[in-house]
Amino acid sequence: MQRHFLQELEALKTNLIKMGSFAEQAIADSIRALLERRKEVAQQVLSQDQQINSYEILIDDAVVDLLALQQPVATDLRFILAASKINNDLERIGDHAVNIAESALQCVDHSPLKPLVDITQMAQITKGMLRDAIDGFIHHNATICRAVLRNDDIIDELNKKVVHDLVEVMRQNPDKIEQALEFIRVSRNLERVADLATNIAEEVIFMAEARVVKHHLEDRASEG
Amino acid sequence: MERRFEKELDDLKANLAKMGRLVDEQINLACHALFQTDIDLAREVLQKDNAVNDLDTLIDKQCQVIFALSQPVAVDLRLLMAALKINNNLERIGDIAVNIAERVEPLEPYHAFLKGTRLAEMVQIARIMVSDSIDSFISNNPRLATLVLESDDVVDSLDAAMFRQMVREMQNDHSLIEPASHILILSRHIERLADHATNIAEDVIFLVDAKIVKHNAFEELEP
Repeated sequence: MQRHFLQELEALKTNLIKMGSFAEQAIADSIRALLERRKEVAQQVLSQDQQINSYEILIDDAVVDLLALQQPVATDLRFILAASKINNDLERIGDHAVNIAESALQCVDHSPLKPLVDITQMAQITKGMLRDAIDGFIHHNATICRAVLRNDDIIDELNKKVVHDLVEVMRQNPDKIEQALEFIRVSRNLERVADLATNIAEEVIFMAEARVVKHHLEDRASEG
Repeated sequence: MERRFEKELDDLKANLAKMGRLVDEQINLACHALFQTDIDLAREVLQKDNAVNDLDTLIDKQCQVIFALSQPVAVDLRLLMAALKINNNLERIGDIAVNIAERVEPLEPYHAFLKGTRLAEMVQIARIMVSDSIDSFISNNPRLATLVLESDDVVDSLDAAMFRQMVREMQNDHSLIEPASHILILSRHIERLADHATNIAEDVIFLVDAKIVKHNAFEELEP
């Protein structure tokens, strides 16, 4: 019985790590599709979302089974509850990758919008946050996760700046309105991904240190 | 043992109902602030978000304690898992109220333009979805939850129509680019509000039917 429980816990962790790498890949690919204007990469993100969704259900079922059959306590219980939330967050990240890929498909049909420095930077930081949150989960490392929490504020600021700049772009080039709106959409999706990476980091810290970090930092509800 | 568990569950449900009322009120105030251009009221919404966060943390803790001490199985376990997810969705609804409140000031000069859109109609449907989804959980009513799922499509198509309309407005009158951008983002927030209500409704149906509605008939992606 005990041995079986440990194996199931290990399987849960392995599946979550897999799901994490799918989500990470989906975000990276959707951004690549957008910046390199590659339709086939965007389409790949759309078709692979199904895989993320199936993993979510698989992991959810495993969580319920573990809780029901093994009645875990203390550290194991905390791990399983955190796993359940992280699972949910990763699935949403997959949805945002799909949204970004859809924007990428729209953008390919328009003339390119030139300097996208801030979006590129946002994408870079967000991808790093997601990678660190997942690494923190794999290695039980709360320190990496604290850095994720700090980066969230930077992303919020960048998002506001991007939206502001794109409104300016539209004012000066009304023929670019549609492209600019797609980029506003992408910026907001990245901001949501950063929020979700932050949630994951908070869960890892909760697991590692058994305290609630959530809501301790100043409010991060704001979006631009 | 059985008795204690029942009591814990009742307490949890009471707190979830309280959380539901709190975020519903926050959405109500934020939308009121938006349509009446009441900046003080918008600030009040921002301040009250702390209460939402505190209650979220409390409910999460409560769930963990019940898991640890009562080791629920079967239906009770499902209920507890659903409670955790519903709490999470409610907290995000609270965040959306903050997001809406933050748009009140930048939209102040464009009051007439805002009134001319169908945003109020969207808000109305989404708010009913939110309160119905909470009610469906509290009163264990999957039929009410099904109604919520049906409304989601309406909000999605209103959001898509809003997008097309705002693009047209921007193209026709360049001075409207800024307010139209704000309204597009607001429309997205309302659409997410409806998504969260849909998530809650799915959990309620899942509880009752123990089958997965998600990822099947109802896609929750943005158009």
